[in-house]
Amino acid sequence: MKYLRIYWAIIKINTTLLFTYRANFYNAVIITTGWGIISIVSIFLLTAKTKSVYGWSRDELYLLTGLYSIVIGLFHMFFSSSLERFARTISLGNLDSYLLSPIDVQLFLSTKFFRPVSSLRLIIAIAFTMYIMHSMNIELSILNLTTFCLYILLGVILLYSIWFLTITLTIWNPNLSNLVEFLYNFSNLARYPPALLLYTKNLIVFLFIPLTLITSVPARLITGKVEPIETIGLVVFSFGLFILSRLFWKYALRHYTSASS
Amino acid sequence: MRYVKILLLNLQQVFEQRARSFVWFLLSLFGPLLMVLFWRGASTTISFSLISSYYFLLVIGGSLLMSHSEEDISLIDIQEGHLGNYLLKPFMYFFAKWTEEIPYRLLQGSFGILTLFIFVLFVHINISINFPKVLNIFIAIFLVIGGIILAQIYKTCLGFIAFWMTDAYGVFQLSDMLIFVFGGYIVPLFLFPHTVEMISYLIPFSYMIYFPVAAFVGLFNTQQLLLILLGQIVWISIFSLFYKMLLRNGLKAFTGVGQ
Repeated sequence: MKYLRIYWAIIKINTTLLFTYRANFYNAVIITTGWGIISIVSIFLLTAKTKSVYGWSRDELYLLTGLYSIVIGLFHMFFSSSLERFARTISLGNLDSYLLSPIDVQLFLSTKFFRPVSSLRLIIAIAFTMYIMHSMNIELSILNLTTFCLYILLGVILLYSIWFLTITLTIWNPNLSNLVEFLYNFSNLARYPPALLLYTKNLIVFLFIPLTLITSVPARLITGKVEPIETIGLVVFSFGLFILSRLFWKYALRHYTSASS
Repeated sequence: MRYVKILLLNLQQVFEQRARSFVWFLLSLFGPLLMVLFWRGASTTISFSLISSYYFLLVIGGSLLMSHSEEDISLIDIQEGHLGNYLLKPFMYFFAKWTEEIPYRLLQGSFGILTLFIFVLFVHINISINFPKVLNIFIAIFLVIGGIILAQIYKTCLGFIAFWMTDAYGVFQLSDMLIFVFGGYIVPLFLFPHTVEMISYLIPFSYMIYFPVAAFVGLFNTQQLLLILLGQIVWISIFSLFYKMLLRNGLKAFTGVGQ
């Protein structure tokens, strides 16, 4: 209950902040809408001269893009603003004040900033996904819709865990604040079918497969092609990586040496 | 000679933060690599060899050609007032900033070339660099130099927006979006719908990255290459005028802050 009250306060503060400066507000709207549209336009451009990719039809690829935009929209709304500031917090030694606060540090660091403007990207993504589903004659039962929402939630947890695991590395090297920029780029992998990585037959590349499950499993659920192993994979990786990120964070904290780290 | 000395000093500083540069390079590498894998599995009539060559050269192009000076200029020089330091020194501001940027480009570009070699040697990818005439090689090299200059002048002008705006981040993002689409990062511009392709040839973004990269893939004949070079010169001239105009007017609005 305490955490819900704190998060509600965070939402209110960040929403007020967004509307305080009008130019900033317009800026944020243009950027969010722009990237949302580009994400969709880019898949149209990529598939303009192709019928299918790794057995995924053009419509299925559009669906993947729509679902990716939903997951990334949710992730940007709840987490990415906070994680963006993570490296700076460490390099300036500000983590000390977080460590002294009477709430869970990982949770506070990950949710301190809320980005309400990302709801625009979410709306664009949901509208696009519904349009594609309509054009593919897909109808969801209430049970499927609930399962689908659950899969999306698992996808967000998985994405969060990968991001958190990676940026925890900045405890050792705070100079690597640009890792976040890389993660923005790296998350794009979730827009493509897992076969894209399986094709390489490379063990190191296979490590990235969990990321592709974020959208491919919900997409296959919608199209009625999902296999139990894929669902298990999504659940195991989501919870497994989340626990791993938590353990890694606890381990990393032992190496945090305040402002002089 | 003094610019060379400054360049060497900056190179030393960039090497101190090579891990950070490597992460920036990963950013240039990851997108094109993903595209290569995407096209590998695509059922299409477009030659995979051509597409993969384009994207692999884009890795080098993206890291060697594209300047990222705008945030430095707007946040550090203009908003924090460091521009005053540059104005008091006997160097042109543009060249002073350029000597700071070139070491980053050289280091990240060399990461790109190294990666390309690794892929050719160990993954056995086929890169086709196609020049039917010797003259085309020279024009392509000039296009690369032109691309570097154009990107630097453009990003400097973009950074100058901070003279009039408190937060120019939105403008930078808008510019990044345009470069992403029209610089050929998503697909080579010849795969765009015809009208959009024609529009992209008229705006400066394609002259920064796309044309220099596509020239090495061998997408153009000598006459086309010369026309592209002419277009690049026109855009460099336009942005040079912009640069002078923006700096002159911007300095009137600039207030240096000292301690």
